[in-house]
Amino acid sequence: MIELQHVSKTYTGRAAPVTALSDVSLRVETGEFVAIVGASGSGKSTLLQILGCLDAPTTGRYVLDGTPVQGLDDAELSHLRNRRVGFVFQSFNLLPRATAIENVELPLLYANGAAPDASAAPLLLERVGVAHRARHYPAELSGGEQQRVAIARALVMSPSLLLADEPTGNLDAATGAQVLQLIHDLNDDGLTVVLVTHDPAVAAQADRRITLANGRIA
Amino acid sequence: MRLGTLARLSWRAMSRSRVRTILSGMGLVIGVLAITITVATGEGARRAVRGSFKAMFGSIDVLFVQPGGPAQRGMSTAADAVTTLTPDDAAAITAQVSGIREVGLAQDASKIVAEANGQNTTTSLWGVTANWRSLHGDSVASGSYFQDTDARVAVLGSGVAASLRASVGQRVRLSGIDFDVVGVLAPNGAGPGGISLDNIVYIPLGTASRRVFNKTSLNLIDVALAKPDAWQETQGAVERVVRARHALAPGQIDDFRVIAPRAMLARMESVDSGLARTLWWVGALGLGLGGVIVAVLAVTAALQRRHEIATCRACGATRRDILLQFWAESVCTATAAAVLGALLGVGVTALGATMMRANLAIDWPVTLGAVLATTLVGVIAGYVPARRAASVDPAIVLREAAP
Repeated sequence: MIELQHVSKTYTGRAAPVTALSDVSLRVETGEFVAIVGASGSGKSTLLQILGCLDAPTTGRYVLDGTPVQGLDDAELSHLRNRRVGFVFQSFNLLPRATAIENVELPLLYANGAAPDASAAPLLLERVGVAHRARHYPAELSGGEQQRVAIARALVMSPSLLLADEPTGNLDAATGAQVLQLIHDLNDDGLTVVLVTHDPAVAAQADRRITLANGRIA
Repeated sequence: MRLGTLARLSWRAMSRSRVRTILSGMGLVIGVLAITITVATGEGARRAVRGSFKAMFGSIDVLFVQPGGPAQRGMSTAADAVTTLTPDDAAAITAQVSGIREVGLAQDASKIVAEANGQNTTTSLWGVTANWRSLHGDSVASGSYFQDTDARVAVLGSGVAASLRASVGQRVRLSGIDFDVVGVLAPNGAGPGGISLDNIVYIPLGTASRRVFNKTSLNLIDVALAKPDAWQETQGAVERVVRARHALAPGQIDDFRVIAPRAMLARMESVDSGLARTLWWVGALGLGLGGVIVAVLAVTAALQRRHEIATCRACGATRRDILLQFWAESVCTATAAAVLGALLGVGVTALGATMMRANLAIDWPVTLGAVLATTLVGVIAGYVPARRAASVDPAIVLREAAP
């Protein structure tokens, strides 16, 4: 279960401060499949990064699985990302000089010994249907295969929350549908899924849709 | 992150970006290679000097006392004309100077005609005490060395034995006197300037002084040092004893001289060390430049791999993990470059030593030192780029357009 209370995020760069999120309160139950929709620049990605402990809210409160996130230092936030959260990105974000299996094993490097047993990564590659490509580099894989590898990587530490940022945005319709089906299957197994999309057809498949506009929940 | 994981990740990164790794480490490879070879050249020269001293004197841990002081020097025959150095001087040195292991006495003459088996040759003839062989480090190839005796026995240098086709049990004629050959020495090879160290005949000192040279004065006293590092003190003590025996008043110049091979060696090595210092600076400069190359390419890598860094951070890498990962990569690149440079250096040295018969000798402590110094260069050069990599904000990078 995750809960945001009155969360705001303001970026202070060299230019004028930009408010990406203002007063967002949100609650996602364990096992839920939530889609966050909105135009580009509406604050979707910022919200996802705060949920994934990549970015800290400027104000407000965020509780992830009972753990209050504000005030945690870099090591503690990294620990949460490692254990509780799996990220899936629009552009897959696989390490180009690591094989599929090495990409899946990436979070294990940062798990400090608390990693699952050695068979976890191969089993997950099998689960997402790309076991036969384990020794291939990302450049040798199709888009759909790359996103499946990325999903396996997101799952390798058995997180409670899957955060997907336009996971089908770089895939053709048929492949995108397959990847989405895979995410559905994972959700059916109890994984909480928060998915960012601007595609209404994708959003329609979620249990619940949250629409953002100008940093606020519409 | 564990050390093994870091090493594995570094190896993976290095082996999968080969061009970058090679470019990055090239400067350091050349630096270590240069150091190894230049030091090998210097060390080889030093060993060659020591080696020729050894071949000439048997050991560098000796003092030579010769008759004839600074005023009497000049002509090569001066030593023959001066008769002031005597066996009693040698006895006094033995009795009164501490730090001495052994004292050998010698008379010598060059251009002595030796005849045997219908052959003849010109050789130098030395009348020596029986301990001369061990003092000089000679080894007997056949037969044996003589004892202190008045007998007409001779030990031939290998060159003389070969010229005369003489062997143990035969008779040779030296300066018109017959001698029984009791031993033949093993070859010593060439000394400084290519002169043969084997064209020599040894006979007992008693025989030489009574039957050949007809004099008791010595041409050489060979003092073996018990404490080689204290050679200067021993030299002073020897000079005092001989001056006292020769009744030289203060201010009066010596009528003998003491030669210390160690002093000659020290002079040669001090010339060497000026060159060595220059080479050190060249090597240090090379490693410094190599370090700059490592640092520049590591900064470039940190910038180019921002998306990879952000992805690792999203997967749970702490800033410290990223710092260590990038740092380890620089250190491993530098270390690998250093080891490669050292291996190449050792290889080139070995090849040069065998193919060109050059005087080269690997200085292992320096080679190891160069490798460690290069690793240190990697540690220093890699730190700032690693800090840079660690400071990449994953939130900003992941919001950017995909790579």
